[in-house]
Amino acid sequence: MRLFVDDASPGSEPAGRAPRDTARAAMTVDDGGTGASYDVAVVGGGVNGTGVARDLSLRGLKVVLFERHDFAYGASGNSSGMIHGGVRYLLTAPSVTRDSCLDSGYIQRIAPHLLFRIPFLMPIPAGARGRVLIELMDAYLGAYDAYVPLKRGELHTRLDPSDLARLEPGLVGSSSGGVTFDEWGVDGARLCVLNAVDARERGATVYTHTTVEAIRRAAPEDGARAAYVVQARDRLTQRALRVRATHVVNATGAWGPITAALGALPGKRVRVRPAKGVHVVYDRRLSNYAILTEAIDGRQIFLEPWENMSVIGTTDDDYYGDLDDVVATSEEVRYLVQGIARVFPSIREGRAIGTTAGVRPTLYEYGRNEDTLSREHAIIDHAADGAPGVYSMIGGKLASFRLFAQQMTDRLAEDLAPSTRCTTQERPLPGGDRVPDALSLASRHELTPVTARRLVYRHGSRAAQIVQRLLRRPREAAVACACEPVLEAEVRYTVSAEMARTVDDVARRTRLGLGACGGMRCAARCGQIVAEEIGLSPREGADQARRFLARQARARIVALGPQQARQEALSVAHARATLGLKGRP
Amino acid sequence: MIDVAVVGGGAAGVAACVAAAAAGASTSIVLGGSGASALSCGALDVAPWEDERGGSRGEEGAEVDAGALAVLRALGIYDVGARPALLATTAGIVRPARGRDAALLDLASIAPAGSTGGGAVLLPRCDQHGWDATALARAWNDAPRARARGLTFVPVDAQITRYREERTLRDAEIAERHDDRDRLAWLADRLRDVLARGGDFAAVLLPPWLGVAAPRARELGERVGLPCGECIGHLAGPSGQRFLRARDRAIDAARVDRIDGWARAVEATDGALRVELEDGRAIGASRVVLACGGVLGGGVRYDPGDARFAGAMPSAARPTFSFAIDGIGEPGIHGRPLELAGSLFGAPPEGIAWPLADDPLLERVGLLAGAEGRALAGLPGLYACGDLAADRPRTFLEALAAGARAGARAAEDR
Repeated sequence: MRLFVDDASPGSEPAGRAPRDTARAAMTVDDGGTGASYDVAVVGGGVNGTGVARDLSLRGLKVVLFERHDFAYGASGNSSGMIHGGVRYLLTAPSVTRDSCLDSGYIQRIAPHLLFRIPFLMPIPAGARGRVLIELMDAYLGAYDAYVPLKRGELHTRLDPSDLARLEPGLVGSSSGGVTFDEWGVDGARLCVLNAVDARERGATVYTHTTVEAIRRAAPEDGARAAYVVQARDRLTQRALRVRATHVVNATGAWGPITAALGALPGKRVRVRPAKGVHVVYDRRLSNYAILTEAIDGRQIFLEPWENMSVIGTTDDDYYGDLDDVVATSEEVRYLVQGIARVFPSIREGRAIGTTAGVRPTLYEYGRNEDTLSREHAIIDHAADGAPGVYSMIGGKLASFRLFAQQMTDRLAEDLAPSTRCTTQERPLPGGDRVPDALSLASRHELTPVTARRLVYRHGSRAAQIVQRLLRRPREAAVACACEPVLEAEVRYTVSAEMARTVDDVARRTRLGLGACGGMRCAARCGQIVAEEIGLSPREGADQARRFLARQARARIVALGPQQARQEALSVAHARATLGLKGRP
Repeated sequence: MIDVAVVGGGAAGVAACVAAAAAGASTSIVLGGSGASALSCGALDVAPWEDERGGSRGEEGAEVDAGALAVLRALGIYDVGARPALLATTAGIVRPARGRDAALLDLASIAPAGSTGGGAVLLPRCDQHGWDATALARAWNDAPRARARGLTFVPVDAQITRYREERTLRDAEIAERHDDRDRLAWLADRLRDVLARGGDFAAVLLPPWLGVAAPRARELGERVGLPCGECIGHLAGPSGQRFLRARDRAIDAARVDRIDGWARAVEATDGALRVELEDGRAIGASRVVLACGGVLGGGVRYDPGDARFAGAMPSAARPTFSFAIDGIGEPGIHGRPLELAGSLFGAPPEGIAWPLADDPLLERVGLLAGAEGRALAGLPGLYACGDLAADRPRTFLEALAAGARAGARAAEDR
């Protein structure tokens, strides 16, 4: 019985990495034993996948989610960390701007602890062009102001050159003044984790570090609708598992065509144009405002104060490399630093402590420049490919994830739960019901104010659950990572309550080891804790720490400058003395 | 005018000045900031221990250079036995080392190579940030080298800090408190109390807390009645501090003239050399031994070139690495001078550091020098040792050996 129609025309290449014989194998009916049965199997733990899993769970549907690495491993965790209002779409698609602003307001409502204001400043150069440009920008942002209240933003302001110099003394060059507007920052990795945690608490089954190996049509049951068997493997334990689901959502971002091929779906239906974006991270807040400027090729780039650090970004280049191993290059770093240094020269004295790199799943188009590609999203219904109930989500942005998830879930609910409605815009994410006062938390539990503040930022009302642990085990008040800072209790909490399984996972959830010391003091300790919490041998914990340190070192050295070089040599010397160094990660 | 001027106060520098003075040369040492030795952890290696080809790895133990041994005697705080030591780190590892700071507990002395009888090592468990005895015991009990010898680590409740606010102190600060005899006696009493509660223990393993002025492990052990010692802790622990104190004592004992300052340049003057300092002072010497560190110590600078240009691109190519001291030549590696990279930004960083580079420039670049430390190019009369010298393993014993050779040779050639 032929279930999936391979409509690739003769001579065309099968999409993704799946060889043709895999596709053929998938055409057979799977009548082997299956594990649990679900309504929906979601593949992908980025913001789209976790967002859909949460929405489905809130509507009472039975969901299973598979993530090959960890939540937010790809684009979701390596974005600019903004829930922006879509100011750039104002002329081309004002409805997108409106929806983005509206959704930004919703995200603030459901995760108030996780959002922080990022005021943006755009200096306008002096000269005739600048004098025209400032009028244009003033008018443009005046139009944007109509949508800004939807996301509780401040209205734009126009600055004369002296205001500009007073507000942002680090700027150089003569100017015609500048304009400001308002955006919101977010920790994208935590946003995904909280969606996944909420889904799980509402009944979803969530597997991380578990890669899907095949999606097959299940043996038909009398009168039953089409169903699928998803075969997966835990990459840490090598345990194989199979589940049955009537619906499958492919939410794997840039991996989308590869995932589609695992279900013998034609990859060209899920075609994306992978675009790499990198950021450079600095050890402190270098500016008061986020500063928008132009790179050498005229592209817009920025320097933004983000949490306790600064970030510069973003590049946008077609990507042909390995999606599982995306790293920034020193060329990309130089391109960004050069552009920022033109208006903010002290960036060169800043200490870069790392880089991030991700691959955007942009909608496919040939013959256009990366920047002009749509950031829209689309849902592909694979019923047309002979796979009813299977969908692919492609494209999307952090800022509109909730809306995209709602659209996807609405489609699934038509089939599965027609009487339900979406509530993700009003039900708070875990910890978002109330933001506790950090200072009183600090004094009650003898924490430093900074520790308490960071804990509340990451966990909202659930910070209380973490400090509760300290009453039973006071030793967990020990600081595991001093840079961030992170308490031992929080590390243990991320393992027990947030599905962290490796040192890397803990870092993604808490920013442990991502600060100025590069994990020198905390990676080994974190490895010990993770190993103990999940019952691994301590040696495996130490191996995790080594892998984490190597991965971080690799992300750091591309931004190596005169100051960082000494720190890097120190880091290597320390790791060598206490952990031993193995070769490449 | 003196015979030998040594620049740099790390392991190589102190070795050079002790060796030069022992050979009868009038010697001065210029001491600036702290580098790798001041941050050293107390493990003495010939080659990086985790390196399969490394010298300290084999149970038989690598030969230790006679010059290095003489400097270790002068420093007086290190032990190098016939066989490698076995040290525990708070990263949860049990690692070999050719020798050790005497404050560190040598697990091999309790359970020699070949034995499987081992014994139990007591870990005091207390409310102390960064010292989780339970987790460390778990990790060390799982360490292959400890298991092979039948060593076990047993956490036992024992409040070994005296004041509550000490819970958040750094290791080196608590270590300094144990320089006080009464305080050390108090610690011994706490440990004796714990041992009196029972259990058959072969040794006591502590956080890195046993003295800064000198290692206090032996004295503590005598009071407790069992071998006591530290594990290797975080960076900037007491071991580096103990090195600095021992170094100062060794310099004084060798009657070497100590000059605090930063060397800026070295130049040739009438058949001699002149070391200029940042503050304008100058030292005339027949021979100069440079031991001012590699990238980590500040002797070698990494300069990718773009930092000093506000414009689009650097206008001219420049070497990726340079020396902090002018006039001593150009950096090299693998016996050759560094070539200009085919980029205005110097060598791409991807290729110069761990984990991407197999033989990282960042760790190996330096002044090219012969076996006895004589600089291969540049001014005659210059010697290089320690991390400043190219192609050397970044280890404490190698720095001592190279420093001793350079100091002795410089004195002989004066």
